[in-house]
Amino acid sequence: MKTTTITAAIAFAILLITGTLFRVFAPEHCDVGDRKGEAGAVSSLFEDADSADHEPGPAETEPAGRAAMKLQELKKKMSDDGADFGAMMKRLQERLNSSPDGKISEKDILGVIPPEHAEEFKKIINEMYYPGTINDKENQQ
Amino acid sequence: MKRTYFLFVFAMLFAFLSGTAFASRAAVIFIEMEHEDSDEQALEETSTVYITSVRLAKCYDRLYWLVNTSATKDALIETMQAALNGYDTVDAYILGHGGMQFFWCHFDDRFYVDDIIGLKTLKNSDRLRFVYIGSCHSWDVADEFIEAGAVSSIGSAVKMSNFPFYPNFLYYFGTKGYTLSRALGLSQVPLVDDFRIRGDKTLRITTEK
Repeated sequence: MKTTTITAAIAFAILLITGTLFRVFAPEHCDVGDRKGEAGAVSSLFEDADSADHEPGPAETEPAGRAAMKLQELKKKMSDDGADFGAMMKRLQERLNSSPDGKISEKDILGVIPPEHAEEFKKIINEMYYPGTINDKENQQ
Repeated sequence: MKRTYFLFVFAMLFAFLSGTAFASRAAVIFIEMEHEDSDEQALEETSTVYITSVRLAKCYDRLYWLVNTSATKDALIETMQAALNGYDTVDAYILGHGGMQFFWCHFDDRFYVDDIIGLKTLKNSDRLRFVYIGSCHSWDVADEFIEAGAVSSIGSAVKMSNFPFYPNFLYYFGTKGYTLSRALGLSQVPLVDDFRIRGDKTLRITTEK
């Protein structure tokens, strides 16, 4: 009787352990979805990415990627409006070179862009940051 | 007498600590996205200047800019020397086009791995600390910057875009002060970016060389 009870207890324990191990290691039981799981694998190539307090997942990076596309659209719009990119760059270089410590204000940089496009330019740049970064009020320049 | 002695020791200690904590830092920023001298990438270059300026102005005592026509091979070497002569710690941010074992300078000039290793012959080259290379296949030249004396460098193992990786990396590394590895891990776009670190992964913007 005693032996039977012990055997049953051991069998039950083995069953519990197997179940737990299955839950932990079987891929279909991972908490993360497929894409995020793959992203985790890529990130793990880079040491302590896993210790980060906020790792952007694919859903969060999409708006940032879209912002990069918007910059191309703005360029086309500016080109259609006859913007002189060469002159714009020359003005920017002059401003950078005239600063003794190389530091120029945000206003000085935006000032080289035609005024009707400057605000949109700034908005697009801000959208490139992942949520919770530069868009926080405290982190704005 | 004792009080004077203690005051003197404290003053010396304060002077030493101040010197250590506020060692001067400079960054050389090389932005060249249209090496063929067309004006097609001016907006990308302007946005890169904007992002870099906003994020790094507070992190360095001096920013050296090489943008578009001033981003030549000779100017890069000369500016690196000027920065190394004038500051205790020098970082470099290189953004542009590149291929395996080189990146492009203005006027269709290439900066090859041998040119990078040659930076070691500059005076005070031991002051070079960190190099960000934002060009396609820049992982191929990242170890040459380590050979040239840098503590850490970052490069991409694949064809890449600096947007949105670069602004986010500057935010985490420069503004937040995270370690390189943490800043890189937070800034990568999964399955798209493949930026990697050579050398010390624990380096922070405040780490003194």
